[in-house]
Amino acid sequence: MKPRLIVMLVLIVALPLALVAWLGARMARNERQMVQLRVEELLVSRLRDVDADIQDVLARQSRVLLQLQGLADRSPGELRDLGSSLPEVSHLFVLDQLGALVYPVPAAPLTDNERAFLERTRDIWLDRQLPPRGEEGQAPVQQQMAQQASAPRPTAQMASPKPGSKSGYRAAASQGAAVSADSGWYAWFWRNGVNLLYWWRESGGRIAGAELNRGRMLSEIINALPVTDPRNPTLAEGRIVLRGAQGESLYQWGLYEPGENEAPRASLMLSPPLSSWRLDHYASARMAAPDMGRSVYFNVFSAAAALLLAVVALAAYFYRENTRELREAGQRISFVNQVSHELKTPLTNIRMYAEMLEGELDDAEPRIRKRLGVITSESQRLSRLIGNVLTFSRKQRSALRLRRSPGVVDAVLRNTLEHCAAPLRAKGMEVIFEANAPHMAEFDADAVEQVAGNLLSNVEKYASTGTFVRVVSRQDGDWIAVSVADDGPGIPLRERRRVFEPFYRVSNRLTDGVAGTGIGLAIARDLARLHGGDLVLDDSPAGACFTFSFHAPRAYPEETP
Amino acid sequence: MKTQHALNLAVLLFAAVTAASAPAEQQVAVDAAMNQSAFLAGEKQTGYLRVAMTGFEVEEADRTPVNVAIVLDKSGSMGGEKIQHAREAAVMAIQRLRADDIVSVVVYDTTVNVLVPATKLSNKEAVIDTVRSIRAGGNTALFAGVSRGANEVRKFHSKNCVNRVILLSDGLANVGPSAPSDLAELGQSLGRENISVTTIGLGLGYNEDLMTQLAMHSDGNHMFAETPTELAGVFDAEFGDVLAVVAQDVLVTIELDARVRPVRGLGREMDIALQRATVRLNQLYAGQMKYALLEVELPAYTGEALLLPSPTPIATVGVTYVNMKTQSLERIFKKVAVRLTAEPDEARASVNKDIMASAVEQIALEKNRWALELRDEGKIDQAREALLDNAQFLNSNAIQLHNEKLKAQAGSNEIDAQNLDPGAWARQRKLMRSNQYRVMKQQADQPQSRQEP
Repeated sequence: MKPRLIVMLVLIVALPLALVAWLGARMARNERQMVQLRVEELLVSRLRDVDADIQDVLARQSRVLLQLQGLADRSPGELRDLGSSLPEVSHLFVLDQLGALVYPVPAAPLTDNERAFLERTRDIWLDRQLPPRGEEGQAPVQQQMAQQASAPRPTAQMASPKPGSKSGYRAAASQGAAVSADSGWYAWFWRNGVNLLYWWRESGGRIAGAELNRGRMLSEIINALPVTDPRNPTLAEGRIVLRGAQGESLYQWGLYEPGENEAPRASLMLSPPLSSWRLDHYASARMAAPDMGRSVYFNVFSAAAALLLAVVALAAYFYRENTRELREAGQRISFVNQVSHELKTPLTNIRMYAEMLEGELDDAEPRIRKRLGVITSESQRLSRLIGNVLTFSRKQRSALRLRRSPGVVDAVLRNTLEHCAAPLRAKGMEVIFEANAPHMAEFDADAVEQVAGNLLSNVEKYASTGTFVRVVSRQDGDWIAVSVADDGPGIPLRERRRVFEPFYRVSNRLTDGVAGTGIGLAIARDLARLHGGDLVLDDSPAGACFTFSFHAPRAYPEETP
Repeated sequence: MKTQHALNLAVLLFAAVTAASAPAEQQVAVDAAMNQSAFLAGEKQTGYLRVAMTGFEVEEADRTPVNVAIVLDKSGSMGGEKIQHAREAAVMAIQRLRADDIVSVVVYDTTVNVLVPATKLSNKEAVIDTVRSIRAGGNTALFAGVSRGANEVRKFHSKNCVNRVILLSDGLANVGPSAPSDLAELGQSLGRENISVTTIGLGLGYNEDLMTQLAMHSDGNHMFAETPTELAGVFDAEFGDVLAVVAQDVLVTIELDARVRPVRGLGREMDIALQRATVRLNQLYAGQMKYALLEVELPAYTGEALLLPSPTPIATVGVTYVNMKTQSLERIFKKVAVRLTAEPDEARASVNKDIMASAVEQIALEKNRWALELRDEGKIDQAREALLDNAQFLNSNAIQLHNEKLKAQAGSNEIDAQNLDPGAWARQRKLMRSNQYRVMKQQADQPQSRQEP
């Protein structure tokens, strides 16, 4: 019973604890993911603000450029001078109604600047990519990009750093739909970086525009973004990096210094026309996972601890309840043990005198003999009971010893049956003894008698509805087996193991009301095991059949022929 | 502001010419002439047209207020002695400024910080204390540093101020754009706003191409300080220039006679379109001569050209600038003409030695650059040969033209030739670039003597 109880108690404690720990861990992880998600959202919204600032820079640029309206009416000389005096412009250009370049004119004599401009923009003019075709309103950017991708023309100068994804595109500036058809940005790749053109419609369907000075544009963007001032706490725990199309850092700010291969906590591609650029937000662990996550762990831990405490208390309570019965029984035995010691001597006297009297009253009338017989058998039952109690308490004190001496098992069994048969026969049961152990052997006669007596006593108590009890002895070398079988109600399958536990009594209608100490079988098995054998309950079609085996080396006294 | 800028230019280009009203000693002296006053008729010839401008002298008390951003590299490599000298050099420079000057201090490593936003220098001590607090550490976000410096200058940008960014760096730009062309674009844009960027390279770790490109396109100075101890002298020289600006927004326009063909500009960047060549200078310094040099092809004047009584017109030169003393836009016109002669000796005798020397130094500069490219390609022997050739070319012209400067340049080419081996090259390349820059922009010599190895 003990190991099972322990396993059960451990399960009672461990299972809910594990469950709580698992749920808690899950909750904590969810919570942390939530927090991380929220932090990421926060970081992304910050990046959106930055993106908006950059869009503002471009919008400002476009407003400045739109004031150049009227370019188409100017002479090439004027355009040349103007183009080389505007800080934000690399070059100006004018297209006619058909989209053909009228300034700078490729056929005319060119300055070095004009030649370089035509070289880096050649594809735009060859493909007549300006103005954007087939659009009255906003051109879907995706479609434009697809169009670009389907007609790739890699020239020596055209860098295509990320194949397919961002070869070039044009997009309406962030100025609203009304203006977008009449002006817009055009982005293309040149020398490892994105270049921007801004174009607008002029009178007579002509198009004019300007190529932005790339360095200047980046410089303007940088100037619109924050500096890294150690006294300013806004980005003390973070670092935002503006990256170009190839992932190169263009500008960064924030006091946090990210590690060599640290991954950004949040990233955002910029809005067109700079959509090949990216913002990366790095952040310290403290900023990215605030204390919230920690407090969740604390909560889960303390909940688990509280539960553990409660469960342990509950288990302890159940354990106490469970053992109290045993403890009480033990106390009872201890009391009975003391009483038994006191009873033993008078009982022996009673028995002895009753037996003596029985011998002397040879011819007495049967009525008297019968009464004497009752006295004898009851005193024998009582001494068996006392014997059990004393054996049990010796067992409890681990003081149980065998006293082997030469003898014949059948003789001992016959003697036992002589004492116990009377009550059985009185209940109408036939007692059959098949004696097959006639040889001298070394064994503890008292123990064998006690075991056999207990088994027969059980038959009397619990199987008295049966018709017979059969005792069979068998001697097989140094081994002796004694079986006691009846045809009473038997023992239910699930009780079979437990009948050997002390103080356990099979509870059913048959046994209710039958007196018993509940230690008979336990003692019998202990004695059998002590004797090198065992006491088992055999399978039998009806009733119960206990087999009691023990080790009894054959003894050969001189006088035996 | 930008439209205003465009408007200014429009005024400059298309408005009626303002008559120069200032007295001559307070005007820029413009000398426009061909390398010979007489050319042989009857054959095509190459000539050099030089427009030389010399800033007038001005009293210290009358000098133009300055609006300067000091951009300091405080990356990890600047640690120790370097940052210490840089701080002291900057402090010394600030000490020279007046209360009505505007100064800002930008520091950069991986990130950028505006340490002292652009402000009138009324509290000099506070600014100096801040500069002295700079500590080194981090990477080199050079582009962003210059951007911020220019942004600070722009806050008080004025045509009546000397607007300048002074950049000190000792390392390679490794955060943000780092190609010389990227910095050139930024420099060009700033130059158009009249903001010059002076670049000071410290030690042997910086990218001299990037630093010279940035200075070149914004018409600032470029200087090479090999050791931190040279910084004081370098800053001193730079501020000497800054405080000596007498004219700004200088535009030189050369309209060539229809028969004269422009070949190329020598030295400074020149825009040539048809018969018109333009050169921009951001500023002229007191007492310093800067020039624009145009190589032209003279036709074989025959027939009726020879019959012209007066000298044959070659070009009309216009120089417009803002006079910082009078705060007015001035325009000076010069006509360039030559005599035609049938006598070769007369033509030879008419050589203008000074202009010829300018042409020689610019041609030698191109050869020096070419030699540097050869060395970059690993062709050490060819580079050495080119440099020695160049030295010889300069030497023979120095004798012929009695020119000490050419002689010095010949010597410097010889030194270049001796230091092409890998051990000496890193340093020599920086020296070559800064010498090239000085010749190209007629930058005043750096004050301190440099020990040759």
